[in-house]
Amino acid sequence: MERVLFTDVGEGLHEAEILQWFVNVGDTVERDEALVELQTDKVAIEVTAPKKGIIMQRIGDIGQRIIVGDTLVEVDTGEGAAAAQPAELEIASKPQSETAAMVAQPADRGQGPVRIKAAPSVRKLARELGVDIQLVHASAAHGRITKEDVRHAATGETPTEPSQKQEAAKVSVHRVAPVMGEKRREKISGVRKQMYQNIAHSLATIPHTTAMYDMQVDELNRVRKDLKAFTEQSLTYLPFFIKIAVHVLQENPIFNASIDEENEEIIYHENINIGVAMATKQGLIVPVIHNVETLSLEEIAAQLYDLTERGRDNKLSLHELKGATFTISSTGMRGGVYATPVMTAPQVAILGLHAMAEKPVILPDRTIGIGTVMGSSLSFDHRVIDGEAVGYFMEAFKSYVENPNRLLLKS
Amino acid sequence: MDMTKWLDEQGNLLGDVTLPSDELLTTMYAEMKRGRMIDTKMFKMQRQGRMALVAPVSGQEAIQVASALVLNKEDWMAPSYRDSVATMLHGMPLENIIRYFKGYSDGGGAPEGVNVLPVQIIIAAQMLHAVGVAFASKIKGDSARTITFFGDGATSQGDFHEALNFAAVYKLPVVFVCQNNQYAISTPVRKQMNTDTIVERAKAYNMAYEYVDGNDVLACYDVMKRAYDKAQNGPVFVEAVTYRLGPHTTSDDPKKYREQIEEEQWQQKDPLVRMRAFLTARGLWDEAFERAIEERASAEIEEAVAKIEETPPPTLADMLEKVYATPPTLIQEQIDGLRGNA
Repeated sequence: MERVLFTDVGEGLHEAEILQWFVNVGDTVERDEALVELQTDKVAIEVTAPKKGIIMQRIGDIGQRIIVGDTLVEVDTGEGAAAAQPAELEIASKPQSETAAMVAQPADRGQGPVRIKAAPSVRKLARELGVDIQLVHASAAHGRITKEDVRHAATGETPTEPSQKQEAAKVSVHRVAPVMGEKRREKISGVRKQMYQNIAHSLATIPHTTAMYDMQVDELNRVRKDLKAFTEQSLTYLPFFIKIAVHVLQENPIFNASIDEENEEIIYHENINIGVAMATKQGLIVPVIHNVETLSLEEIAAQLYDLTERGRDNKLSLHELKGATFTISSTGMRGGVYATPVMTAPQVAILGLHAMAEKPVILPDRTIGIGTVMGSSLSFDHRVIDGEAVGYFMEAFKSYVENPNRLLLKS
Repeated sequence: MDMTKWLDEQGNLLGDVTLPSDELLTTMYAEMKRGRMIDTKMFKMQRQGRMALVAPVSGQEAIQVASALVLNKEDWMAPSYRDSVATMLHGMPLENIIRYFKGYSDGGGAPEGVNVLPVQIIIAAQMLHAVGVAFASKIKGDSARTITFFGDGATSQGDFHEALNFAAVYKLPVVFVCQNNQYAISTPVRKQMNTDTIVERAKAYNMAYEYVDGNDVLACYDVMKRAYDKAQNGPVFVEAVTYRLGPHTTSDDPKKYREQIEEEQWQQKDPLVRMRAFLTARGLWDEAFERAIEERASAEIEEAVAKIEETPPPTLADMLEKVYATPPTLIQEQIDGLRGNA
């Protein structure tokens, strides 16, 4: 049995948050295969398996905080003691816990005195008070001796247990007034926490204005169905909308821009990187298709499929989640008729594409007939984009959607 | 300032040049690849808690391999902490390098006959050590030359100036190799100096110099050979323009100060990719060759790691043994105390 610990990655960082797991209990891992990604205050780190084996236990969920010395996973390497039943590991927050005790062992090994954790100032105080620091009981977490401990040792008092009074005080500060009928509580963490912060920030700092349009998709649907016969790729509407967006963005470059707040400059982007908002179990993520202008419709569909699959499994790299110059949020059948999408700073616009429904429309021969109509909403940063520009953008988008053969003239 | 380049980013030869032997060409690639693999392994081991701190070298293999290949056994090397590809090729055992980054007090020393100084952590200090060693060679009248490595950040230190000036005044047989990897931890070169290049400072010391694409192993080998020959008569300054593909150390996150796009642009210039393309075009590289390097390096690494992890780490007392030839009483008391003989 091999325990993989969360070790000090350097420079005195003792805590980390679990960003994502690459393995589940019961999985077989190869040597040096990724186990988990952690975020310290300084750096995101990937911990790999030191040996091949089966994951028997795993600590904590995404978003949970762990401290140096916690066992991340237990790997059954087929050596040593019999395997325990697979289970979740406890997060050790007290030095008395089993995991922390185990961590202390390597330090105890070998000749010479037991390693003492105490700051130089604490050691100095011990010398001044004539206290043997080796005999001082550490009351704080992580087994570190404090000045308080030294003073207690000097006066012969036993230190009080990790001050319950303080704990109680802390709780009363953070607790909200009890609500009748509270069912359960859920920690806001991980992806959800990012949304929690980012969306509030965007709405608070960018003046959002939204334009809403109807677009008839019957012709696009016909083209889509025709093309399906010629490709292995699953061809949803979304790749078409992305392709159309590329042309419309090229014709209206202000929408493929971002804002440099510090220098009060608009940065126009050479390449078009389209973020595609996607709901996952963890929350909303926005994978990015980079340099879409270089891709064919089929390639866009393929990349989109790949990103969706891996996004669902939480397997996207940071690069694939960054660098969008424009975002499309396709809310599908359950997204309402129109919406007011929220931008991601420093982008200047986001296009929401919504439910399609049969509605009365004016047909080319000026009679009333039945058409399939999709609602769409473009939120834009009104500080840098005028309403007129939005009109051009949306009219162009609508024109491509309703006359998809126009795409043949381009690219 | 003209930069010496032999290969473009696609691995095509840029001019009419006389190439080294096929054997040397494949060795260059194999050693870069071996260095990359060891680097990757050590980085992972650090995250597993099996190493103390690692300074990844990935991206800078070309200049290091080229530098080590031009040296003779009696030449000296004064490295910094990101030079293990060069020191290994100059005879430093892999085991010592791993022990060093595990934080073992005995990892810094080289075996007898391997002329590599202990890793210098203090920025630019190894340049002075190199000058001292070269001065000794000159006084002794032996033919050994000394090579030292440092980064762009080191050039803002006083030690840099002192070393260059001293070496130039005394015409010492030393090659100063600046691996300009664009960042002094997080400070980019353009924010650190008011010159376009680092190498132009060599002129101020009336020193021979070379300016080279540090990700082009053929060009690096060419300039290092020339620098080595010239160093017989006095110091030579080499600036190799390269890029640290990874973080500064295992406790650094370059995403905080570098753009993803910049990293990607430099990945296109990866010295291994370029050399592989060149070798492939000449029929000197295939999958089997790559696998053979991988298997050999992988076995070497696993063997070294297993050996180290089977032997107990040095004790606290061992650390004090290396400080003095004859420890003073106070130190000896501490050693005895730590060994339990007090």
